[in-house]
Amino acid sequence: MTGTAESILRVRGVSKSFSGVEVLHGVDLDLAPATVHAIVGENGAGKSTLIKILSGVHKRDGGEISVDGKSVDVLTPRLAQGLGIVTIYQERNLIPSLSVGENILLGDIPTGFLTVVQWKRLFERAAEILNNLNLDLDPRSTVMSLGAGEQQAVEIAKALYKRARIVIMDEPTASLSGAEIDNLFRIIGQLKQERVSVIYISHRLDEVFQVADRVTVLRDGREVTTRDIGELDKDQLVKAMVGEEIAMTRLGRVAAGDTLLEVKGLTRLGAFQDVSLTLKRGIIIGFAGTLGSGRTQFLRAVAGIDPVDSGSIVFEGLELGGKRLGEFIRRGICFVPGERDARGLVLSMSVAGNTTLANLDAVTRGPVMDLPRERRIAQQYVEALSVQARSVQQEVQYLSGGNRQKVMLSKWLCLGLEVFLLDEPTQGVDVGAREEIHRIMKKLLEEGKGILMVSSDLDELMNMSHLIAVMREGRLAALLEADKTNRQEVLSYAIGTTS
Amino acid sequence: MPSAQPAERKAAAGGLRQVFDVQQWGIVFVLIALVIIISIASPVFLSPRNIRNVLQQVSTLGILSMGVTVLMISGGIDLSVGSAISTVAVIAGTMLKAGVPAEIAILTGLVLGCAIGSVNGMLAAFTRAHPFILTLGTMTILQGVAIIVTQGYPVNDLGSRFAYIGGAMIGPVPFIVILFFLVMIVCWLLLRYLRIGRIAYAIGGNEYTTYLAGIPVKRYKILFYVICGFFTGMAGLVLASRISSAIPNMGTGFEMNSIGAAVIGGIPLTGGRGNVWGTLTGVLLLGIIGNGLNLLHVDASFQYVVTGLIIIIAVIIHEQRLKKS
Repeated sequence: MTGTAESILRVRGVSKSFSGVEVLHGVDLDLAPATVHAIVGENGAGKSTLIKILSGVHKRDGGEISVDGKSVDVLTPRLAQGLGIVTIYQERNLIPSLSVGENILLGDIPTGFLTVVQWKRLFERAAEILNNLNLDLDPRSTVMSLGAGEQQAVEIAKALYKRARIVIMDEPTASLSGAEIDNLFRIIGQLKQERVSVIYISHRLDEVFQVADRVTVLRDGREVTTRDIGELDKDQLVKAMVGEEIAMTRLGRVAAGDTLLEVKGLTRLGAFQDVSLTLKRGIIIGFAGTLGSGRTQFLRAVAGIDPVDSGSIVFEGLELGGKRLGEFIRRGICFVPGERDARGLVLSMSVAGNTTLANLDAVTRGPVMDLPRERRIAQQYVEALSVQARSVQQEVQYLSGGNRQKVMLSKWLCLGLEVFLLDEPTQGVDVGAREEIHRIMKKLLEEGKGILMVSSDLDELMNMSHLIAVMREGRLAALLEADKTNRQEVLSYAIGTTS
Repeated sequence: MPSAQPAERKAAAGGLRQVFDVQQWGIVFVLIALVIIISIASPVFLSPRNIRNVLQQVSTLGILSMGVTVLMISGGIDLSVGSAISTVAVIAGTMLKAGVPAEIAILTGLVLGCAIGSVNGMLAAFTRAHPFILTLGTMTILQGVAIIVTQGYPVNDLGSRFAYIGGAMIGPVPFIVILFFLVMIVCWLLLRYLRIGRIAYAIGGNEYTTYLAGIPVKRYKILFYVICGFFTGMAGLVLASRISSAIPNMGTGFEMNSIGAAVIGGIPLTGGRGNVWGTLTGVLLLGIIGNGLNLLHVDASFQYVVTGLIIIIAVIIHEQRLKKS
């Protein structure tokens, strides 16, 4: 499978810079027909940039791309589709109010006299495509009514209808449940039978081993290695991804302090049931689980954002259940959301404004803002967290992802709270910022704070938790000590092979 | 990964920018250019008398637009302000006609403005519908109320005590011009130096984030509508006082002009940005276009065309600025 002669896609020395910074330094890639080729790498390794170049969204600065041995000069999204390269992005590209059939045939709806739509033909053709993929979907149902996995299947069907020969999937399982993931892998198998190749981008290494034939590892914009999947084991793959310099250090064991937070039998119908746990000072509990396991909802409920149906949240001996969100924050519990830009920051406001947003009492005298004091506080955190900003007056939207993340953390740090509920604290930040955020978390623990963290990054969970709470379908499936467990055990509880 | 940190291009304006936080130099230049062109074409334009005229004419719109500025920065919008002006004017007018003292009528007008604002605010805060549509509803209702109150007839001769507001001079400056500038200073202080102003920017910038920060967003949203309603009431009283008459459709068009002034001044419909200086620029621009075209003997109908063009150009300029940064 290594011969380049039979490659349907050949990439040689592709490079790309953004505002003067080169993010891809001459990447090679050979895609064989009917192959699932995974591209893995840490955040910032250049995966997204590479696939955006292949799908024509970004223009490459240098290098060659050839499809079927024919060199492709300038690639636009339209041209890429014409060549049979279809990309399925994380965010769905369907029209929710239209039927499955219309979505699959969109742009090529069969019409007759006076452009009247021939519904029968439309649904027959759509059904044919769906059959080819062994999909049990009614072409007449609206996309809106489908689950995330089914919608994705429709996108794949749409790609197949367009005679795609290369389907690029960017984190296709990010919003899928376990069963939906299995289904996706079945569809990918069908695609291979139709002689379609798949470029598969994923953070989840277990999936890569499950579904890929070949794997390319990118690190810092360079191709590190490309191998048949059988030639590698997971440790070797991880090593290739992280490189040698970052040693895997786990959190040391600590003598746990007093109880900070005690959650008993917490239930929010439709999200999670009967979850109990105790958080002590200096301890971080990491939450593992697939999407839909209810772990983020659990965090939100503990933070007082969502109401609960039963159970109790006792913080330092005080029952908080049923109190207002502001009261939770005043007592010392905060929730730092995962979707940083959409939920965690006011992008049009300054660094200073974002830093003090939850702490206006500290920077006001009566109704009047104490602006110099606000600037001082913000400056303090900019320095403590080494935020790269022109000044504390700079609008947050001009900062890079990692720096935004730090500003979002500052907002809660400056309150001097006791319990931090972090939802995906390092999602979408580069390696340096990630280290920095982990350093902040460790410092909080030293100060005797407690942390609950949801992370989809298993390595982060293993390395940055004392206890790992595995949630499955809204229930706490296991509470494991991080230094006595391993990825396999965590994963098996999360997907339900162990219970 | 592409780092999202393009060089900031705004450091240049330095000190002035610190004080006024002017984010819309483009529009200021348009305003200055317009003043220069009109003053060349018509020497009368820069005469003290005409300047006083222009300021007097824009004062009502100015007072209203300052309230609208606070509201729009917080992400709200109120289409009912025009009808609210009519309603406040005719109710205060009817009271005055019935012999109620001017002070009581004025107080009632202001309270009525706040009440209208609180209804709009509660609709906006407690329903999931967009305030644009909700206030389109209240706008129509209030227009009906204004007509019902007076059976469609104007209320004339509101008494000298009430008319004094609209006509009084303090030195060479009309009282309502001073009132307008006071309102502007109050709104500037509110937005820049008060906690509630900070919260307005925060809610407009990202309502959900503000909520997660433990701030009672709904309560504040209602408050911003009330503030807007208060200045709407004031504008209604000033308008009626100037002509000593309350007409059931006298506020028509004010909603579009005030939103236009705010938008020209750089407040996006989504909120989170902008300030009173921008809105002042917008108000002056609208006033000067009207006055200038008058002086140049241009058909009044063309004012609409020119005003519309200015609004479109302003929005495009702001878009470009945001895209660049």
